[in-house]
Parts: sequence; structure tokens; C-alpha cells
Amino acid sequence: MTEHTEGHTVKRYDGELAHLRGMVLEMGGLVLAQVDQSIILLEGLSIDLANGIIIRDKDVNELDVRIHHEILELLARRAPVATDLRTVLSVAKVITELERMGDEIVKISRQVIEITNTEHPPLDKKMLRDAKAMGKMARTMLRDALNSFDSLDLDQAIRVARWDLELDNEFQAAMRRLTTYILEDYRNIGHTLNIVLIIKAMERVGDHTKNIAEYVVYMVKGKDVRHTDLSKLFDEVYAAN
Amino acid sequence: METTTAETPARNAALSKPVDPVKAIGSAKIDRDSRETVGTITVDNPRMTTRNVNVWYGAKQAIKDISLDIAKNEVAALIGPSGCGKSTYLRCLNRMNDTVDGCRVTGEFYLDGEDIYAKNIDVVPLRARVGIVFQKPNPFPKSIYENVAYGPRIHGLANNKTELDEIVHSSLERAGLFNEVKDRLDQPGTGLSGGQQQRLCIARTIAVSPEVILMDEPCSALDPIATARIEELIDELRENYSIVIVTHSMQQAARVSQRTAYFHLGDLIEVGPTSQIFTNPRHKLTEEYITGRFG
Repeated sequence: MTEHTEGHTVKRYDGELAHLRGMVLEMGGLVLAQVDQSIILLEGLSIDLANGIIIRDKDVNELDVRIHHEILELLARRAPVATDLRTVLSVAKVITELERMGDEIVKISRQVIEITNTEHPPLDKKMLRDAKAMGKMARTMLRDALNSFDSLDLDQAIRVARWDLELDNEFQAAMRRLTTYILEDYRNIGHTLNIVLIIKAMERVGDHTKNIAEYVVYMVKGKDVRHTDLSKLFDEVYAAN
Repeated sequence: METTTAETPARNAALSKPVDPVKAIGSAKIDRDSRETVGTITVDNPRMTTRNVNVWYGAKQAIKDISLDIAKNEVAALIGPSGCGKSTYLRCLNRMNDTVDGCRVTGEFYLDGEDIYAKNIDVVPLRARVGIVFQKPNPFPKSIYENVAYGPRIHGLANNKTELDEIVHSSLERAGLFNEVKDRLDQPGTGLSGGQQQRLCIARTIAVSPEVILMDEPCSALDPIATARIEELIDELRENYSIVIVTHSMQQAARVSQRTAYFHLGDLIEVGPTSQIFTNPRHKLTEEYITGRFG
């Protein structure tokens, strides 16, 4: 009468959902590599590297379009419900976050090109220390967010979302330190403005990563925690339905 | 900052087996073996109330201790795999099972607070109050007019021909059929298309002023356009009636109903707002059934 099976009765449907999730991880891998490169960029300030990052953002955008198309097709063909519907909706949201992260990394690259412009006075590299530290934090967050998306690990997703608070605090502290560079020497204003835009971009990468973690929670639990106080996130996620 | 195993997502993507979300989410759901009804069986404005319903066909128990309310002006969808008892339960609501040999029904059934299984209840007027539309359109082998007029006539709802005409007219109108048949009311009802025949059966049900309309897979024999017209009609009829629909089409349940009840092997597994059932069901069996993991 009824038969319990692993996965959907229509096996191709399983394959389509797995493929969709795999594509998100592929796109996530590309963005993670872009974040990696941006950290190296902040170290070496290479214009070639900056231009390479800007060019590679096209790959991220192309995947965004391809996944979007696959989502449309899956919605039209399968009319997913329940977990499947939440998965597809979350995928649609996650790729938007990843695409925007890619844009933030491009912004960072453009600012580095600006900084290295020979018409400006040379940069004191210690001014970039905070940006690099924030980059590493954002990178770890993104890696773990993608792992939580892959393994549907709620605890990891919650940790990622909470780390965003630390990144935000780091941003505030970095802003204060940058102010002191201006107070020390007003000729630092030009570079400081570039660096503010860089750390703001890193902070935004963290925000997008936190959003991904929240979509993982939505996918797994069906709970919308996007506007939940982060300190209450754990209780909220594990509260009874 | 905390860190975890340092594998890149691209590597993960290449290495990991596809995760089945339903399986991974298993711990968050009510266990597959639990047979206690999940969700709220009661409503604020009940039209029908059923409690501890058990049905046997001979020695085989088809319904196991189900309790459920049907609200006024709602469409309640009963879903579940074949043999789960949803049609059996539906047929208890107007005592259609009385006619089935070897069928035994226990439990409490109230329509507007009145016990419909009480000894003094005449099932003929009961079935006018709780009408039923079947899977296959079954118009009488009579004219379109007579199909609709028959019920009001035997129940004495019209005092004269003018009143009867008015009932036939308004019933066909409410069933969305009048404009299509107004010039051929004397033609046989069986000559209509499948979708028109089903709407004729709905008009016939409405003609005796029911309080509840039961529908047992009313669209499964119809094409998508005829199905859409019936679904539109169901939505309109909700203003005046309670509707209980049994359907095998999950999408239909999602489209037409406000509450959905999931049946499984004679148990009522879960009941809840349709939007919740189709986005975040709480019982694992419900999840597996509606996502097409068994059935």
C-alpha cells in the first residue's frame, strides 16, 4: 500500500535538488576563493591581482544566472512543497547573497587600485592591518556558512550568525583606529577613506554570510530567524514548533 | 573565533554525497512511528464535530480513533495515500457508510450540535444537509432541469413551479453552469461534458440548501480547465457552506483549502492550516508524503 523509500519516489527529483545544492556550493567556492584573493591583495597590493579578482567576478555572476534558471525550471516542473520548497527558496536567497558578496570583493579590489595610484602619497601598510584581520574573519565565517549549508548543520549555522556580531565590533574598532591615523597626519585622509570603504565591504561580506546561515536555519527548521536578536538565536531555533 | 574542519566548499561539493534534507531534518520532526494526531483538531466555529471515530469493514479497522472538527465557511482537505481512510471518514459525515455491508461505525458525530447518528435521525434529510459530490460525475438520466429540481421537489422545498424554477435557476447559477445550459435545460444531463456534469452534480447538491458539502475527489476525472472551474466554484461556495474535500492532488489541496488533514493507514496524523502543512509540516510522515517520498 505505502512504501517508504530513501529520497523521493521520483529519483530524478532527488538528483535535481542535489544538483541545485551542489551548484550553490560551487558558487560559494568561487566567492570564497575571491575572499581569499582579496586578503592576499590587501597584503601585496598588486594591481594585476586586483584586476584578476574583478574579472573573475563574472564567473560568480554567470553561476548566479545559471542557478536562477535551474530554480525556475525546478519550480515549474516539480512544484516543490515543505522541505523541498524551503530548500529551493533558500537556494534562491543564498545565491543572491553570494552574488552580492562577489560585488563587495570587487569594491575592495577597486579601492586597492585607487590606493596604489602613484599620484597619492605612499600608504603606511599598517593602516590595512584591520582590513586584513576582518577579511580573515569574514573568510572563516563564509567557509563555515557554506559547510553548514552543505551538511545542514544547525549549530554551525547559529555560530556563524553570532560571529557577525564580532565582525561588526571589529568594524567599529577599526573605524576608531582609522580616525587616529587622520588625527596623526591629515595627509592620511585619502587612504583612510579608501580603507573605510574596504572594511565596510568586509563587514558587508560578514552580513551576507550571516544571512546565508539564517537561510540554513530556515531550510532545516522552517523558522524565519532573519530579524531575531542574535543573543536569543539558539533558544529561538531550538524552541518547540 | 571558533573554527571547524578546513575543507573548502568546492572540495566538499565534490566529495560529499547529496544530503537528503528530509532525512537530515529528521530529528526536528515528530517521529515516523508516532500515531498521535499533531495539530489542533478543534475550531472556533464548528459546523461539524467528530470524536473518537472508529470504522471497521468486517474485521479490518479502516479508521482508528479520529477526532476532528469542520468549521463553518471553510474548505477542509483530507489527504493521504490510497487506503488511508480519508474517503471512509468523509462518508461517515453523512452516513453513507450505513449502506455498506459489514461496515461498523462508532464515535460521536454532531452537525450544529445535533447527534447525526441518533436513532431518531432520518438519513434522507441528513444527506440533504450534508450533500456529497463523487469522483465520477453521476447525473440522473433525466433533463438538466430535472437533475436539479429532483431534490427540492422530494424534500418539499418549493411550493409551486415558479419557486422550483427559481431554485433550479439559482443553483445552476451558483454552480457556474447556468449560462452554458440556459437554452437547453430540457436536454439530458448526461449529454454535458465531464466538467459540466460535475458542476451539474454540484448544482444538484446546492439545490437542497445543504450546510456541508462533501467532495470525494471531485476533479480527478476532469481536464485542467474543468478542474480550475470547479476549484473556483469551491472557493465561491465557501461563503455559504462548509466543504470537506478528499483529494489525491496535493496541489489541489494547497490551492483550495484553508485546513488540511493528513491521514495514514487509518490514523489522523496531522491537521493544521494548509499554509503550514505545505511549508513546514510537523510530522515526518506528512513531510514524506507531501514531498513525494512515499505514497
